Amino acid sequence: MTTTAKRTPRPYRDSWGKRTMNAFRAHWQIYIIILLPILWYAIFAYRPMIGLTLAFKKYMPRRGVMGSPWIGLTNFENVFIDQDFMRSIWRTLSINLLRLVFVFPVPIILALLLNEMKAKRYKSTLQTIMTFPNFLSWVIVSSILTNVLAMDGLVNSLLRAIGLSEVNFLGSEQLFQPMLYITDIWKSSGWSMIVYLAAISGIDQDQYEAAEIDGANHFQKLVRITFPNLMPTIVVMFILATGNLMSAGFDQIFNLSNSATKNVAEILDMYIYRITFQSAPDYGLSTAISLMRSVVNMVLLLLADRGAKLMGGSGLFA
Amino acid sequence: MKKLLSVLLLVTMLASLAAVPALADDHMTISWTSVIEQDEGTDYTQDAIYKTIAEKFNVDFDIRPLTWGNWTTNVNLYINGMTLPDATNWFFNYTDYNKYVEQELFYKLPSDWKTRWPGAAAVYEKTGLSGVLEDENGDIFCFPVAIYFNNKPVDRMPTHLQVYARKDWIEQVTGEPVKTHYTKSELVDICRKLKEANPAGVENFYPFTSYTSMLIQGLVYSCYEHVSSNYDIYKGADGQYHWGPADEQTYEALKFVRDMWKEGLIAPEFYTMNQGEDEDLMTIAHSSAMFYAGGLAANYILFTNEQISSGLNPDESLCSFFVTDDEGVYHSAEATNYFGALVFNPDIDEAKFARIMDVIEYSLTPEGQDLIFLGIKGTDFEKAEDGTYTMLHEYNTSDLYPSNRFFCTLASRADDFSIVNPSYLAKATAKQKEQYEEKGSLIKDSLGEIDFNYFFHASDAKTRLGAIQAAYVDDYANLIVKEGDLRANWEAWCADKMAMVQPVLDEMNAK
Repeated sequence: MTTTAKRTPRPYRDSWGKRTMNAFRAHWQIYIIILLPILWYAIFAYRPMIGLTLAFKKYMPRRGVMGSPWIGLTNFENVFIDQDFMRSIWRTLSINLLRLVFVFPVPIILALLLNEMKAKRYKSTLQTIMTFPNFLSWVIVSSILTNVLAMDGLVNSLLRAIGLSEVNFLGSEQLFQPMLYITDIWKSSGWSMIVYLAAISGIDQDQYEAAEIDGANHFQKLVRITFPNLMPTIVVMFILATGNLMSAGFDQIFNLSNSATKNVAEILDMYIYRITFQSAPDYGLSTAISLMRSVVNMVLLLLADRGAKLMGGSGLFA
Repeated sequence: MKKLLSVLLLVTMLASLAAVPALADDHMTISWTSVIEQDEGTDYTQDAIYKTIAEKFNVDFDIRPLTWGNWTTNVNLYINGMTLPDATNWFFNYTDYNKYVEQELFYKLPSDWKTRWPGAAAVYEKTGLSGVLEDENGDIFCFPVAIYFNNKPVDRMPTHLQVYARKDWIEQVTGEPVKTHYTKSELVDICRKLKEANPAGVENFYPFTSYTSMLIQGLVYSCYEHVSSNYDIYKGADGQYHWGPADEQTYEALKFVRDMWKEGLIAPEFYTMNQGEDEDLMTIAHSSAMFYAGGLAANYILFTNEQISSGLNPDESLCSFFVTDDEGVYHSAEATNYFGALVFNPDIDEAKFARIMDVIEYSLTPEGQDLIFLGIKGTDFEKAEDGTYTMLHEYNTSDLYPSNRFFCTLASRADDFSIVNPSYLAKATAKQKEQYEEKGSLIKDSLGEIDFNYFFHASDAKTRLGAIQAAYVDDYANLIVKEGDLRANWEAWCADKMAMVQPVLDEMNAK
């Protein structure tokens, strides 16, 4: 027995071009609005990427980026001759991984604590005080710290006054990294906290009311309602921070480091700065290093995104 | 006869017209970088010195001010970004020079430049680069900025760094008049006595204070002549090239400074100091007894004035000296007689280049030097037939004429004229000259020679070595203050750098 399947006729569809034109006609205002950011990205974000080819070229200014001769992977080979390069990579990763451990949670904790405050005026005053340091540049912060933490500065004077021995804060390799985290927390936590406060304010209040009816106390509401609702924001911020592991902290470390701490302070960006601007510039070499840094950052970001999804959370990309 | 006279007159007229630089017919604006001490709101283009030069050559200068902090970085960016101003003082480096010339990034001086601008050519001859800078065709692509060209104090110049100190305090603790130089041991002894006596009577008194770069250049480099970049790779008695920082003398130099630092004779946090803070501590805050700075007359006058402002009498409280080893031998790398080189935008037209050279030529003449450094003849100074100057007031030229700061380093350094500058304190100019002569007499085989063979060696390995050399000062400072055993730390540092150094040594030894 043979059966003949009835073929339903395919509905008539316009061509892609026609559909696009129709969509454009219907929503032309939106397309015009979006055109500007697209142009901005094309000109300022994507066009300069042509310069990345310098990583595989011997840069000759007279010939320009496109005309400079290709030299294959020579720049990458040269990068690995200098021991300082690999050390700066590990140092960057170590400093920024520990930054994730010590600095990243602080704004979350601060947001949760501030959210529990009932006195609104006091809450907003505190928020302002905590946000203010973010507007100071690292140049100013480092000047303040140099004066406060110097051997003859305020802190050491206090230590001496109470009979304790002075501490070499500014020249100690052991204290350098803790100082980075403490100053980072002081300067940026208040600002970073705003994102979490905004996320908290978006939590449906019905959940709290239902919990109250069920007799939940403050801590239970915090753990069972606020924190879970905050998790998607935390995950996104964590993924973004992970994607920045190889490039964060130049301003801070550049201004806070000195000759005494250079062995624990030269992160990758400072290494690039040194070989590019403090000696004979080799733009091919610098671009090769920057490209490697960007690739590693991208890989880390994708890994963090994947990890977040595997743990049941949401990632950056759908 | 009348016809003949008319023809002669016409010929003379035409000849004189030809003699006047044809270039001066059209007005030009010349962009020129300058590392100058800027005062906010000061216009450098309004005073009489500027106007005299601008009118004489029918030009205006578009001054591109730089600071010592951004000079090398910005000029490198100008060159590599193809945005070089018409004239720029570039930190001359032969490896890069070759690279940039090969890529046509610098203007080529015309082959007849020496005959067209003989004054400039004569100064070029005195820089030490004449004959070595020219390529196989005899062409050069820069004009080295000479340090000394009329008043060179000694044939082979050591560094001009000096220790500036509180004369009264040193005499108080030593019980004898200050000397023009001390040995390392004497310096340590004086510092110990100063620390104990604390003549300033302040809680935090430091006998010796200098910011990192100056401390290393002063104390470490004056212990051994092969520790600084350009002099670190040198040809030894065995005919082979060596790397000075790995020599035992470098360790000894570092140990000397480390011992002083650990004993509290040097400011404990010298590595956090910025330029100028060290001199302020001695001349203004009175909480330090000595620091390193350049031994030029201008510096001596600057510190003299600072002491006067802070209520001291510099005759009693300011002195300068240098430090020798314990055998009384002065160590120093030989100073080049040029400080950078003027390079020109490769795309400027011939007429503009000629105008620039006219300005350079004039600035190097006695008349030009007088105008730049002393001001207007008849208003600021008089000059007798025998060359003797009479100053007509006591004001500083740079205070009366801000453009002095631009012109005084236009095509040569101010060091040369400062040896004879009649507007300067006679004591200061004498000191500048004497320190060179005295250092010269105390140099045995301890002057790190300029090895043009190495200076002019260009390779990728040498370019990469530049990154290490740029960090010498910081690395030495780090070794001085680093915890643990200095020898172990120093050996580890040397071993670490050898991967970058060895290829250059191999290249040099294979030559």
